[in-house]
Amino acid sequence: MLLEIQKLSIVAKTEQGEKPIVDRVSFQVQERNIVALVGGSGSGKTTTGLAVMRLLAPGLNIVSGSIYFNGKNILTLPEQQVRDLRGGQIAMVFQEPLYAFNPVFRVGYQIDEVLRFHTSLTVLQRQRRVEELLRQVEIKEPMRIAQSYPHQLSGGLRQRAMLAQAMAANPQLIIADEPTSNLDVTVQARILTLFKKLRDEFRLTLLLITHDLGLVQYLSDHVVVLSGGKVVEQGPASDVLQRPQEPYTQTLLEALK
Amino acid sequence: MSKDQYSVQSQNGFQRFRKNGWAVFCLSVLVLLYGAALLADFISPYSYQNEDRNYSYCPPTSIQFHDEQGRLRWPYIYGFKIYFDEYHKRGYEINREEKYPLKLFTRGDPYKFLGFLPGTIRLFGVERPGRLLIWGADSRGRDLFSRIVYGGRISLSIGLFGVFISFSIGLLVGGIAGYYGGRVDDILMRICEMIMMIPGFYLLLALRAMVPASFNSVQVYFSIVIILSFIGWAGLARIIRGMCLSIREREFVLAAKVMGLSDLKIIVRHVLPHTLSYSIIAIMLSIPGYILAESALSLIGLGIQDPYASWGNLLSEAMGIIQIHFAPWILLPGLFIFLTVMCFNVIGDALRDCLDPRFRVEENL
Amino acid sequence: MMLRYVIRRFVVAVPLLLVMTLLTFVLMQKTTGSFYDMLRLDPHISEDTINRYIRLYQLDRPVIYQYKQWVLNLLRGEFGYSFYYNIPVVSLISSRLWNTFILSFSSIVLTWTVAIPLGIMAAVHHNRWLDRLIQSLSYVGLATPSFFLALLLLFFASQTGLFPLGGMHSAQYDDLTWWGKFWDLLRHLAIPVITLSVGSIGALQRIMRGNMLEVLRQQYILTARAKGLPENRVIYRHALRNAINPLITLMGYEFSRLLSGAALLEIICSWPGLGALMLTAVRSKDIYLVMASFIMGSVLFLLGNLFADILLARMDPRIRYE
Repeated sequence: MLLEIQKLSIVAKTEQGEKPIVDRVSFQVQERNIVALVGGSGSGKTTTGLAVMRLLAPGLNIVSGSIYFNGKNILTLPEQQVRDLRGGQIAMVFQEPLYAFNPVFRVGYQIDEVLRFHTSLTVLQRQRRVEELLRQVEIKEPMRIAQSYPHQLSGGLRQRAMLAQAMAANPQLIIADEPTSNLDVTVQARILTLFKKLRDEFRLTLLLITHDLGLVQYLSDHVVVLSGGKVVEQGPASDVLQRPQEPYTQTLLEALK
Repeated sequence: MSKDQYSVQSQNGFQRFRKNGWAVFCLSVLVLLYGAALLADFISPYSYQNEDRNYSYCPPTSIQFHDEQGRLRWPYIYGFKIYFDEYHKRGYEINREEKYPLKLFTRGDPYKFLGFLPGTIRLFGVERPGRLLIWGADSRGRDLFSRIVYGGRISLSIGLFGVFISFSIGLLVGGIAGYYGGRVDDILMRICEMIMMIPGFYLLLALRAMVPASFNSVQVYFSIVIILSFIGWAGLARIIRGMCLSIREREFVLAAKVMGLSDLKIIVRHVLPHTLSYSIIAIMLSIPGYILAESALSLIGLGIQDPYASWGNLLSEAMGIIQIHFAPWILLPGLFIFLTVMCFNVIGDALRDCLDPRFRVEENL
Repeated sequence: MMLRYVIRRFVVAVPLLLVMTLLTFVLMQKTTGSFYDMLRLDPHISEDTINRYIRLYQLDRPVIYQYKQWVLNLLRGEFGYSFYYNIPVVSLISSRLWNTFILSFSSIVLTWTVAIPLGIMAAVHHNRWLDRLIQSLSYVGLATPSFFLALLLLFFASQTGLFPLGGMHSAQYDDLTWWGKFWDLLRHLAIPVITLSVGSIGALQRIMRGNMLEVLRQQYILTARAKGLPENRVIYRHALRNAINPLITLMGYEFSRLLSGAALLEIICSWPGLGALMLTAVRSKDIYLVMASFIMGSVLFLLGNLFADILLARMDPRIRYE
């Protein structure tokens, strides 16, 4: 088992007191699976994803539970080891790559950064690796893209570059937070195919955070449904999507039709 | 009509202001300072002109509360004996033979309260030939405390007058420019730009150079006020104009026009009041600039002249290193300038925080 | 487009300067009486010099005509003669200008070296004691009148002997080694530069802190952390680069502000700069010196602002990303 989340609870500190964001959430992610974490806004899915990376915003606190990655509890690791994990073994892809990339650095430079800090390749080797990565995500002119600034690329290219960045150090797990929400429909389809290809070719494990059930249908093996910070239903994709038990899940599926 | 709409909001604003401890404290300090300036004649033991060269740069007099046997007594001071050391430098030796008890509500130098009510009663003092110099004396033996209190009159009032004139001009010009737009706006804004283009201090000096040397002190005072206002109104006008450009689109302006009000009335009675919160904050935060400008001018001798006191010209005595070294109390006026500036800043910031969401343009309820 | 903008600025500036100088000239003349009467009073100036200047500036002609002459001479590079100092204005101004420049430049260097790290620290330790301390200090620094601070520092210097009490060079300056001269200059610079910078440090620090806080909230900072980058790199590479961009344009404005703001301090610290020169000129009604320093000061100020405006326009993403 690659990732196991056990009874994770997270609260937010507000002026009115503590507000629960994630309430005893438990689920597992097997290797080479695509697990979809589904829910509406405010369901706590993004927070859960960020918690795995221990990247919660200052006002959010983990009050109980554990997150096991490869058998080790991430929540108890020292900061330095967590940093090694981040980008190295667990990588994250964000919703809006225009804002997720640093606007003042070139795309290739930002991908290279991952290699600098997680591998011991030489400069030349890194350069070649960047090119290779960009090709893997089906970018046709990798060198030109690497030299470009984020705002100079189209939405689809940016998202691919973001994927390339995530994959740079051969992570075991990629967490993707709404990876296609900001793209238009045609581009979405291509990115989705890319995800599938990456999963098959590179044995990637993917934790997909989304509210889009169409995406879930297409891509996932396993589904976890969240609402109001609690797990409402989970199971193999075919089960949950075709024979939803819970009313909430049913409502979600209705919206799809 | 429009006034009612603000009053509900202003109430909330001022209530929040009262909760801010620092702001209230600073407000009290300012009230104290202005009050002291107003009652300068009464509060200070001596007139600002009262000089006695025997006491040149005399250090602050310490007030005694115990007699030689250590018993508590009504406060008194000792007399001073001047002596010259081997370098012909002055020194002051305490003469314990002479004791001068502190007197309250005593007769002191005559004055004219508010310019016409004659009086001689002062809050405290000592009998001659004793000299009560709580904060020391300047080069001519004048009591620094008295001079500072009187100085407050000029330093604090110039700020108010200057701001008043600047803001009147700035509001009017900004209002007109913003309301009419088009060519009028263009021309007026060009003029503002031009004025703001010149470096402040140089403009100050140049304008000051234009004032005839024959002017007496009162005329100089007003010239300075006018010069300061002239430099200050342009920046304000630009911002007010920006605000008015959006205000004039509102319905009540249209309503006023339909009712046949003259343009000027509309601008003054209906448009400008909506810039109220911004204006109040801007005023608070601008006053320090005027006070500092007057102080700077007086400091270099181009402002208020002797024998009149302003905190700036009191500090000019401190420009000589010898003086600072041996008579550091002459730096005290600077402390008051600092204090005043701080207080206005704190109040201005607090006002800005209180009125903030509505700080751009008042919204209709 | 940039050229048009620059030209427009000049077109506005030139008539303004002309009007200002004309006013100054006329009013100064009117209030001090006929100028060459004043000259005659000064025993240092020979009859020859006076006659030469009467001819050169047509001092026996109407004021407006004199002004016109002054402008024409200006364009020829003739700035006139200082009656107070007894030398041509040009040589006075050039040396003083350099001194003012040294002061302004040092102040900018100090301001930036201190304010940027302070701003970063304040942002990184947002709302904790370090942040609050820095904010309070900045607040006080901004409120302190510069002349008061200068006097306080001079008092402190007189008591401790740590810094020289004004002026720009020590008496033995010419005898010092190269290194000695440099060090001597630094010691003399200390008080005026510190005083000049205190307010700016407060202001710049606040802006830097604000920008950093804004930047640290951005998505790309989260990405950088998600990449496992060391925190130092996240702050000093990713955040700083973005936060500092807008500040670069401020430098231009700082410079022009300093040129005019330093005047008062120059006088208090006896620093022989342009501002001090103008003041002496105004005091002694040394008219050509007043005019020349006024023009010089204004032109530099305008150029500084113009430079800053251009920088601002170039930094604007809408233009930059074209």
